[in-house]
Amino acid sequence: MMQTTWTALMSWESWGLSRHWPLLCLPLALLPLCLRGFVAFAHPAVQGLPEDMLSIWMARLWRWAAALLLAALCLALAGPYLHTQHIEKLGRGAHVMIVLDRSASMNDPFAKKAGADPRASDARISKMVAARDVLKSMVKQGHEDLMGMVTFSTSPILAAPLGSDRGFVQAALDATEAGGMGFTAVARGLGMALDYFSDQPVTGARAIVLVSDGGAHLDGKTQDMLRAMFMRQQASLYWIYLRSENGASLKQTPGQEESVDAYPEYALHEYFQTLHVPYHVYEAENPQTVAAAIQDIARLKNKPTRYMEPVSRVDLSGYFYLMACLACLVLCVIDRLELKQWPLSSNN
Amino acid sequence: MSVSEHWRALRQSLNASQPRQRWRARGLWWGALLLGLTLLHPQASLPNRVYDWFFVVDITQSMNVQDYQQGGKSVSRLQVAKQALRQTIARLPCGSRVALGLFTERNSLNIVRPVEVCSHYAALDQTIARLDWRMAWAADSFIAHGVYSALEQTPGLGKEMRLMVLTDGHQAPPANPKYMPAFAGKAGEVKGYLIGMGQPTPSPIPKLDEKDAVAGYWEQEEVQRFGNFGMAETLSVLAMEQGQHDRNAGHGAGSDLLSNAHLSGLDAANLQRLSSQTGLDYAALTQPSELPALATGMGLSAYRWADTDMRPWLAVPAIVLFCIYLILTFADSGLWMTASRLVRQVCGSVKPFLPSRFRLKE
Repeated sequence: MMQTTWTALMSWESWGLSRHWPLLCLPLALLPLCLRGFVAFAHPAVQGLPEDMLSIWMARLWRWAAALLLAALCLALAGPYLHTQHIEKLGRGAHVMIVLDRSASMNDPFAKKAGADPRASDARISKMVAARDVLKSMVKQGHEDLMGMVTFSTSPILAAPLGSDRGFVQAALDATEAGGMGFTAVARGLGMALDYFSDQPVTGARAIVLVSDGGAHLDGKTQDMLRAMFMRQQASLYWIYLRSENGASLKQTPGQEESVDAYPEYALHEYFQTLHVPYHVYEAENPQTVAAAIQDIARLKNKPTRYMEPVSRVDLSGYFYLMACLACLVLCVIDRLELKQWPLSSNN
Repeated sequence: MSVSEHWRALRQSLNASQPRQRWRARGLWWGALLLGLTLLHPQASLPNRVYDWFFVVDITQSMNVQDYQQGGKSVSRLQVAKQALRQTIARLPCGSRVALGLFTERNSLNIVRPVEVCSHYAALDQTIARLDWRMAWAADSFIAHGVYSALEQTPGLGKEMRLMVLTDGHQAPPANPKYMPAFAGKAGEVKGYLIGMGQPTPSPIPKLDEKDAVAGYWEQEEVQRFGNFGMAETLSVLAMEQGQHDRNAGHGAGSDLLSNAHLSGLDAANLQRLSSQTGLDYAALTQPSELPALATGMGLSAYRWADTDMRPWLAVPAIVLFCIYLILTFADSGLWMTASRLVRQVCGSVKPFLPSRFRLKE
């Protein structure tokens, strides 16, 4: 850490100034060095006094302290900073990647619970709106977890990297209001999310939260690849299944004569059970099931892990203010030692 | 004059300088107090000059063309666009807001709503770094549609949101200009930039494999063609006999639009046309480091209340106070004499370097 800071200090490119005009004041720092003269005292012959080495050195110290004070203040005003630096952070809690389906099918109405009043104003909200509500409540809770989000339709798009920045995940969730489009490429979305774990050592619970209506078919090769990835990253899978208005429930096994292929979500459910990693499915029919899913995820724990996070700029002006303060302290001490009045000036 | 009279005169003159001494002490101690306060790092909410940007990155395959040179290496347009954006968000003043979008096919897709740039810097930076051509949900590149859709979304993202589209302007597949949409909005309503990426000389577009290695290049044979759907301008038999094939111009031999459609260069003409229609400024990017200056340009800023560092507000009066302290320290011994001596010294040291006609006659 220190080393990177120092190499950054050395290279000219990583510097920056917030303002440039205070540099014009820098010549002020020459004033105390150039000005000559003394405070006049009511003494007939100051020149006659013996030279005092201590006083001479004090005067020199005073000059340099005053010069340093003005120079440091001008530099502090200019606001020097270092570009793109990394700071160390401590992360606890689980690493959670949200994988949100953004395909066109998510615009379809969401199946409400059987007992719900169909005439209620929110009776026909789209699955997308339902998913967003679920995720927003999840992002608000569990403040120790690191979270990230991948959205996918035909292709996966990274919306928020794995990190502690909840506001960013919220902003990415808000952006999904534009509506869905394209197909449901579940495998690619999961693949991108799993990719996020590959950079880091396994320090504890990793969870993939898939929010989808699951209308996708995976071929054999993709299934094997995804299975291998899940096992390598040791991530558990939580599927919050958003059932379409006329869609099948995962709890009902298709009949003997019915082909599983007719129910892609059921095929997906069966496949996920063969992943050899912990797998949980939640049918998001009512807020209670969703709350249960969120609680299960919140229970996941992790060893504290240190990780580096980039920051846009490290402000250095604080050091210059500190330097100015120290110089000022020296000036104040010398000021107290100064002879303000000739002691012999009393009536004699 | 006796010694005692002399003595009295001196004391009188010193008494006259007493208020001066008092002011000198005040300068130092008030300055010290202000400096001490800066260590507490006071902050206050003040209107700040900020920049709101909606950055839209073209992630179509033509952006994979490696026609930038950096340190002897070829770098793709997308890489340069990402570098430029990362440098830009690092230099935007705190309080600025940034939204990200991707362009491919006919749409600009907003992937992140506006977020404050300093507190969300890490996430923004990583998201930009991970932008990838594989995120494209379709392979077409209808740049006019993309710019218009981004322009439509921009006002919804914030009142003073500016739009910056980083694209090479490459249209693929080649489209019939007659079927291109017209801009429906008001030109200049949304301010911002169209940033031209790439070199004007066309280069082949690479096909990348899983590991981003070049697996081949798009050939002319593979370019999708289009028909003109009976938009012939003349219906003259003579013209047709002489080789006119308006009706199927896209398919016909020797069509200008198709001959180079598998190559991609910076289509400045296309972007400039879009720029004049939409009121966005056009600028070609030759180096990533040019972008921050464009993004913090004149006329693009907004003012917003934000937490502001109050230390400069303390430091400026402190500097003034210390200067008063300094000047009063030397005021007794003829400041003006000191100053004029200083000027003479400086002039003396500069004089040998001046051309002879500037020298003062002695």
